[in-house]
Order: sequence, then C-alpha cells, then structure tokens
Amino acid sequence: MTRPMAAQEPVHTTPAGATGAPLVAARAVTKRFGTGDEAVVALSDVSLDVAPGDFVSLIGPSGCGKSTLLRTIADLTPATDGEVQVRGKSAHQARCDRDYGMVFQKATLFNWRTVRRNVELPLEIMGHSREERTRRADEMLELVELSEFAKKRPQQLSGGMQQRVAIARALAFEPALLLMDEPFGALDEITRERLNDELLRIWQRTGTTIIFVTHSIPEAVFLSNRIVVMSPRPGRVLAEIPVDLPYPRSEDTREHPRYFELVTEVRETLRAAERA
Amino acid sequence: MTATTASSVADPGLPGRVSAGIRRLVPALLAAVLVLVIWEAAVRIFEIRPILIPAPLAILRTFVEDLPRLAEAVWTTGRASLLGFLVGGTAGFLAGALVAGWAWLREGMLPVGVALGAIPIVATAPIFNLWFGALSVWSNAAVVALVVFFPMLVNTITGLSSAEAGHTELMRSLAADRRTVFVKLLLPTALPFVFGALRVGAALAVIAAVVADFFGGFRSSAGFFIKTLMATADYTGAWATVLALCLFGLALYGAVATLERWMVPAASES
Repeated sequence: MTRPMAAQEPVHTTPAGATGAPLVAARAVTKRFGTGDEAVVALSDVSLDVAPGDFVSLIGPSGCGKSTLLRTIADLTPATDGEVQVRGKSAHQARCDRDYGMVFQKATLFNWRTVRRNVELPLEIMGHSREERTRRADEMLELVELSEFAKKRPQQLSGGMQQRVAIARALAFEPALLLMDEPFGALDEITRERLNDELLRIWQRTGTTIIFVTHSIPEAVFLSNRIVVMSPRPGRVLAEIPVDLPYPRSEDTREHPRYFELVTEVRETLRAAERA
Repeated sequence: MTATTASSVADPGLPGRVSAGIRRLVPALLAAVLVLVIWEAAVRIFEIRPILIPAPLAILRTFVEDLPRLAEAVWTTGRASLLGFLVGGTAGFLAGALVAGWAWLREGMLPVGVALGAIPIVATAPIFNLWFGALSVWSNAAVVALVVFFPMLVNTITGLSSAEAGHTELMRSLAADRRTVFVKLLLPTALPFVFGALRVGAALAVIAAVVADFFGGFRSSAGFFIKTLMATADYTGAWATVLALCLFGLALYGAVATLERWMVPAASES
C-alpha cells in the first residue's frame, strides 16, 4: 500500500497482444457424472474462450467443476454435451497431437528416475534423440532454476521443488498450452507466493498460454489477466473478471491498491453466488 | 528461488553407503558369533552326542575336509534349483505380465495361481520324475519352478496394477501408447514387487530342490547325501551338508538383492 506503482495507467490485459482465433474454445459444455436420478451435474452449459498468450484462472469453491472443465479441455474427462476445441481441433485430437502440457496438484514424478530423466519423459515418449532430450531438459531445469538438482531423485526434493520439476516436464516439449490443476494447492503460503512469481516469469519468457485452476483468490488475481469465477452444483460461469494490473508484476503488485480491489471483487462475486 | 531446502539432501556417496551397510551387519555378526560360542560351549560342557547336535567346530572341520564332495552335492542340487528358479520366475513373470493387461484374464488367473501355490511340493516330485525321468535334472527343476512360479505370478500381477492414478493420467495426457505406458510406467512400478517375489523364490528354490532330491535318483545330490550320511551315522557330515546348502541359498539370495539394488535405485534410498 505504501509504494504505488510507477505506471498505473494505461494498463494492458494481454501482454502477448493476442487477437483472432481463440486457442481454446469451450462451447456449452455440460458434464454429468452417473445417469438417471443419481446423475450429478458437474458442469452446466459452460462456455469459455482463451486467446493465445492468455493467463486464465478458473476459480470457485470445491465442487464447482473447475477441475472438471480443465480435464475436459485436456481430454482426460469427456464432456457429456457441448464441444471443446483446442487450436481448432477436437480436445481428443489436441491431446493426441500433444498440444498441451499438464501440471497436476501432485507432482506425479517417477521416483525411479532422476530429476533430469523426469523432465525428459515427454521427449522420450515423442521419440526425440538423446542429445535433443538432454539439451531441452537442461534448458527447462535452468528455466525453473533447478539445474544443480538434475541428478537428484524427486523424493530428495521439497514439495515446491518437485512441483517446479513438474512444470519443467510439462514445458519440455514446448506446448502452446499449459494446463495447471491446483498445482500449488498443497504448498505453504510462502512457497506458493514464490512459485507464483516464478510462474509469471516463465509465462512471460515462454509466451505459453496458461489455464490455471485454483481456489486461492490472491493467487488468481496476482497471476491472471482474466479470472473466470465459477459457482457449484451445477458448475456454471458466474463472471469473467479482467485483471488490469500492470506488468511486470512483482512483490509490489501484492501491495497495489488495485490488487486489493480485485481481490475484493472476486470475493464478492463468489459470496453473491453463495447467497443466491 | 533459493535452495534453502537443499541442505537436507546430502548424499553420503558410495563409500559412505558401503560402510553404513557394514555397520548394519555388525549386530547380526555379533549375534551369530555369540550363538556359535554358546552352542560350542554347551556341546562340550554337557557332552551332547552328535546324533542330537554336533559342535559347530566339528561341523566346520568336516565341512573343510569334505569340501570336494560337498561342492559336488551342492552343484547337483544347486543346478536344479537355479534352473527351476529361472524357469519358474520367468514363466511367472510372463504369465503375470500377459494376464495383467486384461481384467477378465486376471480374475480368472489368480485362483489358478492360488491353486498351484497350494499344491504340496512333496506330492509333485514323484509325478515329475514320471514325466521327465528320475535321472533328469528337469524333474527336480520342475518341482522348483512350480514353487517359484506362484509368488512371481501374484506379485507381477499386483505390481503391474499398482501404478498411481496420477502417473497413469500423466501418461494419458502425453498420449502415450500401451507399449510406452508398459515400458516406462508399469514395468518400473512393478519391479520392486518382482524382486520381492525373487527374494522369496530364492529361499523356496533351495528348499524345493532338496525335497526333490529325496525322491530323485541323483546319488551326488545334497538331499541324497544327507539321507546316506544319516543312515551311516555320520551326523556331522549331514550337518556340514546343511551348512553348504545354507551358503548356496545365501549366495542366491545375495545375487538377487545385489541385482535389485542395481535395478531399483529408489529402494535403497527410501
């Protein structure tokens, strides 16, 4: 609060300056689990556009279907109705074409592989040569600042470091899209803020489009250029809140008056849905 | 990002790990020496007759004197147990791997495996003698193979189906095909289970081979040797043969454990 940021106006929302066709387009997506009277509607008529270069957060209470929406985009959970397109293709085709990298809440690293070999895994699956794999893995480990841990095993690393390895693995094959399902949900607040700084830096350096599921309001405000607020049972989109905080964002951003206004706006949107 | 969390990641290195291994062995060695000293003293003080239990030093003396004959006996029995161990282990693994991919096969195969595991080995030895001939190493090896097969089948099936859901999803998100998932995820996940079966199998293999000896026709086999020595009241000789078999069993177990440390690095670190 004490240090207002130098350039408050004008602000830009999409640093990549994206126009034209969306990278991800969800149209009237509905997902029902189970059938008949016992069916649970996880998503009801959800539409969402994500432009290239966007950092979009999906936020909402548990059971609002934010993870389910991410998983339909990833083609890990098929939609019951509606359509999801990634780069103009079906979600299934996009998965087969490896158009996205995914980071889960758990780091899901293989403990029988070293850190470097974990990062190499997608490249191995895609049949890259050994030299290419080593080169890219080293690059990615440098990006997440874990180069010196390349030869360690995942279980020798802290939770935050493991999650950074998972990010390096997801980005190793340079996908256009990064899907993140509450990646920092299991970490302590201090580690989480640090990883948020790091993720923003990676986003700006690589230009990767990111869809980020979280239930942390400050995290969503700090990271995104757009926040999609969702309500539970059935999961619907309540509001889309553009985040007009300036770039580059840093520790100062968390003390920016506009930051607090946006946190309040998101919180009130979520509250309003509860009362309704 | 800082590396504050890295300080706990000290690796003692190979020499450190070896000396740590030796340090772990010290209590076991001390206990063994203690038992042997008490045993030797008890035999001497109470003048226990060899038919009940010979003194350890006497057994050791016979062991050294009879070494050529004992080596031949252990070779004859060890050959059958090693052969059966390899055949049974391989067959159990392949059957498990084949079955694990298909749920309906898995459901059908497990009871068959349990049934095979419940067969008393003593009952199978004469049957295999009939099939392969009493003077064939294969009839003894078959007894061993049957015993080793069951734990390997069960552990392979369990191991191949114990991949974490998160790992499976990761492979799906990377559009990995069935073969890749098997090689890069399922197999490494199953390896500790496979080695668990190998360790159990190594111990069972020696037991089964000796049991088969009692029914088989090999005059040079360890089992036949023990039977003959007991009949001629050479109790110390019989005990020396048991010692030789014990050493062979330890060597087989040690070989499996060494291979495991080499192939499953995570096991030695956690």
